[in-house]
Amino acid sequence: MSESPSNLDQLIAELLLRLERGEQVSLEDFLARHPAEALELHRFVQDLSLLNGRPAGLTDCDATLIGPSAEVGLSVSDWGPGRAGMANGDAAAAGQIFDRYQLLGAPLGRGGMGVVYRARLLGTGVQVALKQLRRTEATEQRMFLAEIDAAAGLRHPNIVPVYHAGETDGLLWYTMALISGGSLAERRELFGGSVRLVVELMLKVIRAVHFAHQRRVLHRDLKPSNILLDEGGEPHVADFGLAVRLTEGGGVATDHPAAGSLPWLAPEIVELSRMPRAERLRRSEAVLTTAVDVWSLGVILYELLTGERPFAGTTYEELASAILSGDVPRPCSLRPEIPRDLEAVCLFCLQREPGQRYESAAALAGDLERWQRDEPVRARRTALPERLLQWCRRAPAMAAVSMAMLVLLLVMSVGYVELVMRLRPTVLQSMQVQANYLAGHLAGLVKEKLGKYANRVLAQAEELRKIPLGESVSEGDGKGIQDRLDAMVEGSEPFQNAFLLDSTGRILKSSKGFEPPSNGRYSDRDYFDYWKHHPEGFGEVYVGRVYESSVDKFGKLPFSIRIPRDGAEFWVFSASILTDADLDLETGSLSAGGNTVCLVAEPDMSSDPDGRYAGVDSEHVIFVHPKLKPGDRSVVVNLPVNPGAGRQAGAPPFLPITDYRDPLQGGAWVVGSARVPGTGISILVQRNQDTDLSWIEGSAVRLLLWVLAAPVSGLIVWVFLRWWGRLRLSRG
Amino acid sequence: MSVTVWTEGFGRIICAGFAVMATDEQKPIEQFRGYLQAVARLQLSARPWLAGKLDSSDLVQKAFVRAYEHRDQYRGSSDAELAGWLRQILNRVLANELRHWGQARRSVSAEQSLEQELDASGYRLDQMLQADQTSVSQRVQRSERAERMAEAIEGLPEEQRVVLLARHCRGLGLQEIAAETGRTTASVAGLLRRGLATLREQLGEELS
Repeated sequence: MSESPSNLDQLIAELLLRLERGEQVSLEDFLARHPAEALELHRFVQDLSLLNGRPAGLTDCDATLIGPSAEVGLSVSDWGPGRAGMANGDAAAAGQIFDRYQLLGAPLGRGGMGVVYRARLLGTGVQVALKQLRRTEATEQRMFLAEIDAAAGLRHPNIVPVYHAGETDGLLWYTMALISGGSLAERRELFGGSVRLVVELMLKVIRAVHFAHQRRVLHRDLKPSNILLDEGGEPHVADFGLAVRLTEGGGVATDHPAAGSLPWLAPEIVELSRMPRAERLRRSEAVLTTAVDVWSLGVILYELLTGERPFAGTTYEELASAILSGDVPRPCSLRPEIPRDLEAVCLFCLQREPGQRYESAAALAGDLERWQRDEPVRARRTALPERLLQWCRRAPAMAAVSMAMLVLLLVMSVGYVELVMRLRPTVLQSMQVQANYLAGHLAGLVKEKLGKYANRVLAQAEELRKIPLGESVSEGDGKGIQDRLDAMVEGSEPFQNAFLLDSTGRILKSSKGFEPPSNGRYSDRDYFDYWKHHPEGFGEVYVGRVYESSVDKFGKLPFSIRIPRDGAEFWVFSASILTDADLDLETGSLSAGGNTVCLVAEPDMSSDPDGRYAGVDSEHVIFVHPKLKPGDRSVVVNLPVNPGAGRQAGAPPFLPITDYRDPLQGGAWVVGSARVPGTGISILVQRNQDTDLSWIEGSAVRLLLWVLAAPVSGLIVWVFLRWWGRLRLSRG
Repeated sequence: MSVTVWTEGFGRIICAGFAVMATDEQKPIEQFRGYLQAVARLQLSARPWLAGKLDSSDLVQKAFVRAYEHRDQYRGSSDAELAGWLRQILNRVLANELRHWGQARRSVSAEQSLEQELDASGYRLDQMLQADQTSVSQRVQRSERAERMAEAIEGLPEEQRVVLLARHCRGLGLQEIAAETGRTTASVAGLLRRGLATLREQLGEELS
């Protein structure tokens, strides 16, 4: 016994391995392909079946050789007793004439029911494939006619076309195109591992199957060996031997509802095959749908992508239960390079429940096409970033332009915002300089005004000086003094009161309507002892610090003058005006255009009822301001004093402020200031930051809005175009 | 033939100290002795590593004792059911022995219990031994045929026997056998082919 394996043993090994993998192997086919070893191969199969019966998966074993055999090629179920008619198979031989066709050579292959020969159209060189039914039973004939009927009605570039049908010597036959490139089962190398090529080919097959579905034909036996390839590699769906026609109501007419090839068989059919025959026929209508073919297409796709079948089993039962289990190994676990979307498409076809698969072959094709175009597939909801990536791959030019525009807009806005941020201090500084200038100008006006008031005070003081020495204020010319004081208040706005104090600070007389307490002493008031601090003034008249009256609680600006009397004796004549909105200075008109003009003065520390001024040298109070009504309490404000500025005009009294918070009206202001020469009064010109910077900041905001609006408007246009496209489609 | 007849007859055999005295009443089980013997021999042959450790006659004897002890559990009525039941008992006995010899883990996949594996291989053997026996006359000869088959198989050259039993008793695939014996699949196929051919030559006329 030789140990080196012969070719025969190689073939036996191949046959057994294929059967163990659950493949359906046609013995006749197998023998025909290996004529040299056919006899011994056949003997081996015979021996094998003596021990264990016919191996599962082996079809077309001739009854006379092997005993009980499969019927009509239904490789899954419907096993029945052997049929007598089998013996007359292969009756045809080379040279035999079928109508106008002549057979050439040995059979090309054997299907479940018939043999396929190469044949020639008589009188021409045209070669066709001729399939001849080997049996004469009515059932088989009916099925064969159904096959012809199904296949002949389908004219599609990817379905093997049927030419003629006929009957010769009681044997039915039909001819079809000769597709000579082998089947998909034998030509896996065609794809060279390219997923794109697989999808391209499968799309053609799927569209062909859908074409058949649209004509109410279910193929039911889709598998790689039934997809023939021509010389150009174009696939052609063949073998409609198990095809059934769906009736108008969606039902089917078949005696063999549970048929097909197990590895590609949908689980619902496997279930069907396990039911009693009557039940099988009753339920066939519900089970036989296009979902069955979608499943098979999914198995083929899986097989082509991964190189392995989704379901495995060494025996029929194992394979069947693998299919029924619904567990499919993920294609990516077999070949990690398979795109996730394709994997999802595969698994979507292989959903255990028919209703959860693609509703049609066209839907499956649609998803594969989406994958080809790098669009998201239905079978898998993809995350937004991945979809974006897909879109970029799909439309790189568009993506690049959009990206560039987006970047441009962003850079522009960022640049503009930066520009504004840099411009802002410059703008504020120039505003401040303008405000200072305006304040300096206004200070002159205020000084002039105050000078006029001071002159009025001086004029009355001159009259008071004429009063002879020693004369008592309470008698004699007391009447004259009272008249002077009253004249000060009545005749000349804006003075509110006027009074005369003696050298101890006691009020000798006061103007009508102003009645201080008789025991009041005001020697510590600024207007009384001013000469100690500020010998300068409007000539002799002193414009004092703003004080809060202890009599009527009004805030007041005093004007005072000393009137010498006898020896160390003197009087002080003082007249005050109230805090005000305007002080008759026409500041209101200046306040137009977002400006505010106000006057601040140093407060009189002796009239500090609530301790508001306590100890803060730099503090000032606002006493003229648009928001102040006459007599309102003055408002404390803290401004950074310019240490280099004196009481005289020149340098601004306060350091430049660009972010001043006005305590009376809020808001952020740029402030310019100037001293009213010879007084503790300063003028503030406030320019509103908001109104002056608004145009520049507003335009930055507008730019940002445009940046946002660009993609939004793009989206709107896109939605509109889609809607428009659909509308046209539905009309078309 | 009723169960009662069988159990009584069976009891008598046990009482007679396992005397193999085939009376008419004992026939129902006695006709399975040869068959069971064949199954036991082949089960052992299929596991060459057990050679010399176990004896098929012992196994069958133990199986018969146990069958008697549990006779009230038998629910079947046909010959085939009875054969199946006896085979199952034989498998239990064999499993116990295998465990005893520490062979339980060998060649048994983790999920499958030893009994399941033995049942499966026993079933395959049964298929092989009785092929297609439906007629009464064949049924009567069940044991004889099984024994002859077992003899023929045991008479095969060792390599062929190992391969044939690995496939048809233990149910291994071609590739598994190749891996276990360290041969190519083609060489395994060759051994199988030659083994089958020899079997056919020896038993051909009877089987066909």
